[in-house]
Amino acid sequence: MILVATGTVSVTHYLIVGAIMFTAGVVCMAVKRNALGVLMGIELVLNGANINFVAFGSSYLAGEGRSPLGLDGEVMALFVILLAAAEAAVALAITLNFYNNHGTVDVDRADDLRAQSTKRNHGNRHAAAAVAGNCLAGPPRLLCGNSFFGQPDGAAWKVCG
Amino acid sequence: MNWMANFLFLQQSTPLPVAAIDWHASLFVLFALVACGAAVMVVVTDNVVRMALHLVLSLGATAGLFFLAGAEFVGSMQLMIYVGGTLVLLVFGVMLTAQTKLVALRTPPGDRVIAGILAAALLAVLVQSAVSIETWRRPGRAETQPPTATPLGMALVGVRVDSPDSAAESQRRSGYLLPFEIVSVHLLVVLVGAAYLARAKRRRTPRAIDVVASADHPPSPRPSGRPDDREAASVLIGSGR
Repeated sequence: MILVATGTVSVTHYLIVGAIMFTAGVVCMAVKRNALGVLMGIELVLNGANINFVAFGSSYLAGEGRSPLGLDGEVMALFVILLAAAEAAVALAITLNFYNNHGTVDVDRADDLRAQSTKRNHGNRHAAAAVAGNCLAGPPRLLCGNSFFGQPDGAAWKVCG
Repeated sequence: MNWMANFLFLQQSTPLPVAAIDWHASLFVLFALVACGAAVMVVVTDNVVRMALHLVLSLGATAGLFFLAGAEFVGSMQLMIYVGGTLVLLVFGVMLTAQTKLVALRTPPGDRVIAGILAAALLAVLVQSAVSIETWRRPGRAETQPPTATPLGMALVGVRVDSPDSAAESQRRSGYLLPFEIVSVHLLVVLVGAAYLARAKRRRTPRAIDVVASADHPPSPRPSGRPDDREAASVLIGSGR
């Protein structure tokens, strides 16, 4: 469309491609329930930004005069690639730890720190605190069960008690 | 020889319009369509294995876009680090967590609708701002330089050789020695942290004596969706504490 109108590639085309990838990444991060899907959304976002960096730094695409970023664009794109690799390594380690402890990669299940309902705490708060301390002290999550805080029926209480 | 002459004659009489094709623009359209289409497919599909495949496609096409923009070194680094390293890491993650019920975690349709509306709004804003600047819409000079990584490498050690300027101006533009060092130390910290996070902590499989004991006292079934052996082990160890 725009390409047909102008005939050759310009910075705007790269920016549009970057915008589409960025938007896809943001939606991927927001919508996916799989933790690895969220990671893939992050990669897409970083790539969309990278396309913009390279486009602004490219002397091939620049019109009159120098490109707006010059060499900075390529260097920034390299740094983004390196930091994305580092981020993926750490995030994957965290995800695998979460999987080992909870048996799932569903990010909706990662709610251990959510406030417990008052109904469950109402009955015997001291016992609840003791059980929680008991469970959190040892090599914790594996022994306590993944649904310790999340299950409404309280079946997990007997397990750790 | 006759057929060859005919072939050559045909070639000369009706030459293929190879020279008429703007290869840069058509390759750009190809790579851009693959990159954007695969990125959208990453969002649309629910299967995490297919998401990984589409991500590989999208990032590979992005490397092609980098090549077309004249950033050969960045494009090759994109292929080597991203497609060859990071995505292999992600695929490892997918394989290590690929249980049947986890491969396709479905998103509620209401969330999809809201996300689609928000995505359309964000995309409209971004595209509008990309199109609105007149300078960016001018076609590029398309001047080709011999592909070399010398300016990039020299800039990473602090010397700028990329464009012949006056001495005062090249004094003003600094190199990237300090960010380079920061990134390298950051990578070291990340390596140490990842090795710490991924270290082998404890044995997860129940011991034989536990399995025998759990056969004597079978644990009551719980409605959570965890693997059976680990559930039995956790119930056993938990009740013994």
